[in-house]
Amino acid sequence: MVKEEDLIMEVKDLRLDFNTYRGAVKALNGVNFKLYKHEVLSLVGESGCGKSVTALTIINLLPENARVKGGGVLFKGENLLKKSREDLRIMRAEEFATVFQDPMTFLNPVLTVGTQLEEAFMLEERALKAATIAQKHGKNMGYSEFLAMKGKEDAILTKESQVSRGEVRRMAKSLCVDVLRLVKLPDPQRILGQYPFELSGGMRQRAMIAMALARRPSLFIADEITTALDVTIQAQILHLMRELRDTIGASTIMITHDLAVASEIADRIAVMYAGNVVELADTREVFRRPLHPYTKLLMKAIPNVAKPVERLESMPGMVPDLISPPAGCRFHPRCPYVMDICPTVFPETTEPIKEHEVACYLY
Amino acid sequence: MGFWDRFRTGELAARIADFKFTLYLLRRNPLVILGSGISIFFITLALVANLIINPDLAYEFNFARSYAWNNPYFSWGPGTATAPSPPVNYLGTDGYGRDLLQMIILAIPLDISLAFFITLGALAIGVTIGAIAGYIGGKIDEAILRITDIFFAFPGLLLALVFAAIFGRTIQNLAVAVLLVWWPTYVRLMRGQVLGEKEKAYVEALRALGAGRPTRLYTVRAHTNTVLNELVEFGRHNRILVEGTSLVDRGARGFIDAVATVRMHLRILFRHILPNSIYPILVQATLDLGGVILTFSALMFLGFSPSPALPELGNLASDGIAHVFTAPWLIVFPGLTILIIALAFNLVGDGLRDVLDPRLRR
Amino acid sequence: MKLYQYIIRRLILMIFVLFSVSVIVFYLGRGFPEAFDPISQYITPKMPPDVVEAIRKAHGFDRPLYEQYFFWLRDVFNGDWGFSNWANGLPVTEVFFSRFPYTVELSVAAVILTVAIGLPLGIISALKNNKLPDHISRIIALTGYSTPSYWFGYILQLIFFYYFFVWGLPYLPSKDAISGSYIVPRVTGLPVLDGLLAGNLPFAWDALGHLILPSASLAFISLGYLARIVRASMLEVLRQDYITMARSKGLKERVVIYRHALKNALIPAVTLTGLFFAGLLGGALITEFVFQWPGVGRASLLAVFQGDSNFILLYSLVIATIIVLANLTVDVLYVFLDPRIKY
Repeated sequence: MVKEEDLIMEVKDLRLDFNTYRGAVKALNGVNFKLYKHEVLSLVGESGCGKSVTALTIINLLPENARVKGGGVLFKGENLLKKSREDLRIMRAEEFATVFQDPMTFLNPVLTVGTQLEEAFMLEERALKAATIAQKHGKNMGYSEFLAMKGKEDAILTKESQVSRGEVRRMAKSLCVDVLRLVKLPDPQRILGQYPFELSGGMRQRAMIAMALARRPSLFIADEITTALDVTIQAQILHLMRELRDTIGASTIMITHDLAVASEIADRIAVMYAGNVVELADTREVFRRPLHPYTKLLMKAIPNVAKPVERLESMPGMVPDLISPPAGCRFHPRCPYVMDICPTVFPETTEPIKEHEVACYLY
Repeated sequence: MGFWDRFRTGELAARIADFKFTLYLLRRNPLVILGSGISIFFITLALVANLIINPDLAYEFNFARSYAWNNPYFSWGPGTATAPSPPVNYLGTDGYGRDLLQMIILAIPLDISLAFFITLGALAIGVTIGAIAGYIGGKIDEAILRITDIFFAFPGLLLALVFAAIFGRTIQNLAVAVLLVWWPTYVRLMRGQVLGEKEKAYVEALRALGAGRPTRLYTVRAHTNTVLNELVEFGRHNRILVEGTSLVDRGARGFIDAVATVRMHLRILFRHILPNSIYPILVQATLDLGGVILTFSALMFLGFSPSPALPELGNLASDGIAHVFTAPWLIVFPGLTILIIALAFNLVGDGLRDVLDPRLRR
Repeated sequence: MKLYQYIIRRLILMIFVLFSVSVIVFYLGRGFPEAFDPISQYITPKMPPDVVEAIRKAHGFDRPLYEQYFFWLRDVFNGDWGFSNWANGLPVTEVFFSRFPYTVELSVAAVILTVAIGLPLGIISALKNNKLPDHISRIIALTGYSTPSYWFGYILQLIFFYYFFVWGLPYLPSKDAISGSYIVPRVTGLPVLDGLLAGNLPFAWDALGHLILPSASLAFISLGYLARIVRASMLEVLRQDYITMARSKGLKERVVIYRHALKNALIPAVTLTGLFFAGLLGGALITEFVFQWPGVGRASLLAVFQGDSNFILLYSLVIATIIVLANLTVDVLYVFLDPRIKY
């Protein structure tokens, strides 16, 4: 159940193109979804459907040849697309945290884990200063207290308190150790001094999550964080995410192409296809009553261990070319229920069942 | 269906499409266009230079200067050089009243053709050796690497100088001297490429498929060795492995086997690995065109030209050493020409490097 | 294998390389008496032929080549590299090492200039990729790279020495390392340093003035190359995923570039500069010739012209040693710069 006042972000009709040599790739075709506080929303879809691009648009980390062609991203009331780069940078430091797919390439190989983690903390020097001051006054300052302090720093900082830079750094270091412990990394002190290539894949991913936690985000974006890991580690990381969810209290967008992962951790699932959100509902609802033809085919394609079959189901057709995508509903060439109206214009999103949105002419 | 279908589908078509993409990227780079324009200008000039300059002038030029060179009592030099004064002579004259502009134009063919020959020579030698080193590996690779190390440890210009001093000052020797300085680079480059490509999956696949190996195997019974040998010969030319039953042909079979294996390796190397590694070598060669001109003219400038009469840009510049301040045009203009030529080649090479970088292509 | 094992292995290889170089140079230098007659360093034109023959026999120059090589090796291990007639008959070692500090001075100055201009140029090129600053720096770089070194030296002389003089402007000297004689004690052999160490500022200033044009000439040609390499590796690094990650953390762009990108990108630039410096130490022959710089490069030119094989042998071997050692140093440096590399 979601309440309107818990709305933290709304993506409205987002359209995005990439300019390439062969033409404009129409990556996002009007993406719509809402995100509420404390929930985990999973963006699910096959490769190239635009889920990562959506996330990158929100935090404004798109490559140079990307052009937003329409729509808006409302975060806490403000349209992010209209903000300056500097403002967005500050928001990235204070509100958004992103964990990426392949920790080997996403961590700087020549800097130690400690350096990279510390700089995430040092971004909010104000907060650290406040934390140091609070600690001086006898309060124990671990990561959870640091987290609780969010937003209340000004109250502490108004006093004329001098804190040396060394003390601030020590605070940062101790918080580093604390947060590493929080992500269940053994022997945090040693890890701080190691380089990324010295850690295993799962450990690197946890380190990245720690770097995200350091910023006390209100929006947490996890972009295929389990894809590069093998299944056992995947399970561990998901378990960790579930635990942290309650601790941090941020809203999470979980991007994955694996429905199983989504079912493990998401409250609501948004199914994306070729640049659109085609279905959006609670997790159980999506699995129990898939409405959109694409979702239905996806569900059928999942092999059921209990009922083994001779042939695995697959979907007819191929992913559309986004440079010259199909007109209207982009799924219509592969849709078993295609009607005459489908190729004309993209269908509006309707809500045939309460809190279960679909974008399809069938409804 | 037709002759042109070869170009539309298959491997050739892919390469052509790739090439078109390269051209597209190149067209977008204004500096490369500029560089290519200038290069083409100079190359054309090189080809027609001997036609547009009065050939008698060339003769007189050679004659007078060789005379002066061989005559111990004749002090020659730009004593009567005159300054530029258009429209009579645009760039001034040298000590014999020869128009500097015409002499420069005469010198261009030699420089440019030498640039191409030396670069191509160094490339051919270096690439072959590098390919062998990279592909075969092992001791041969080590040995070749050591040899290139030795060449790299040599101060390049000095090696060329010593070589020239010993073997005489002819153009061929000087060209070989410069070539000796340039070839090891290609060995390293090609070896690196081959090593990288060798590990790739398609090479293993090709080897498994037996690229270049005989395609058909026939077992033949022949009555006489002569007949059998004839058939084996036939098989060798047609990629058919012929097996016989007499003892004599076992040697022949072993030989065919060995030849087939070598053919397979050569085929993989030249038809598959080489085209895939050609890009950095191409870039290096274009850049080297400029470098070779610079090195060669530097050799001439230092006094190693076969005769002062030789129309070569570095040689022309060396006239002006003693008279830098009184007759600066003698050095300025030939040097400027070299600069422009080298710059043109380097612009093209640099643009090519940017464009051919596989990671920059989308 | 461990680091010191790697170093030892490379040093052994170096000895092998040096031996090969010495054999080759020896063959070139002694095997062709028409060009490099070894006897020429020990005789004067006035000596009668039988004296010449006696000297030839005494030095063993009539023996077969490989015997000569062993004699030479024996002499070298005793420190005797022979004499150079064209340099007042001084021993070759003295001829070489008296000139070497000047070459060092020139090389150091050239490297400083190259890095000081080339490095920022490359970084700016990368940051403003395909915009105007990039195009301008590319033209500067390529022009420098295409300039004949002898030509540029003379152009500089023409402008800053001749025309400045004619126009009444303060002009820079166009030859030698110092005007006058070496009046300060020779501590390092580099005039500028020695002047500073002795507190003799006018001398140091004068030496500096002499240094400007030749090092500028060298630097102009090579800073382009450095700038291109820096640009290329910066662009490569900036495309990496960890830069996106750093940006997603909300770090200031400046921090992303300096802390994350540069450290990765500079590795090839550092190695290149090291090798470049080693090459310069071999004596920039042409620049030294153009500016009449009393360094080792110009000496080698004179040696070749005079047919002095002794000097060329020493010169080649010293340069080869420097280059091989520089390669080794650079490879070892890699270990410290890039924590992923281990031997």
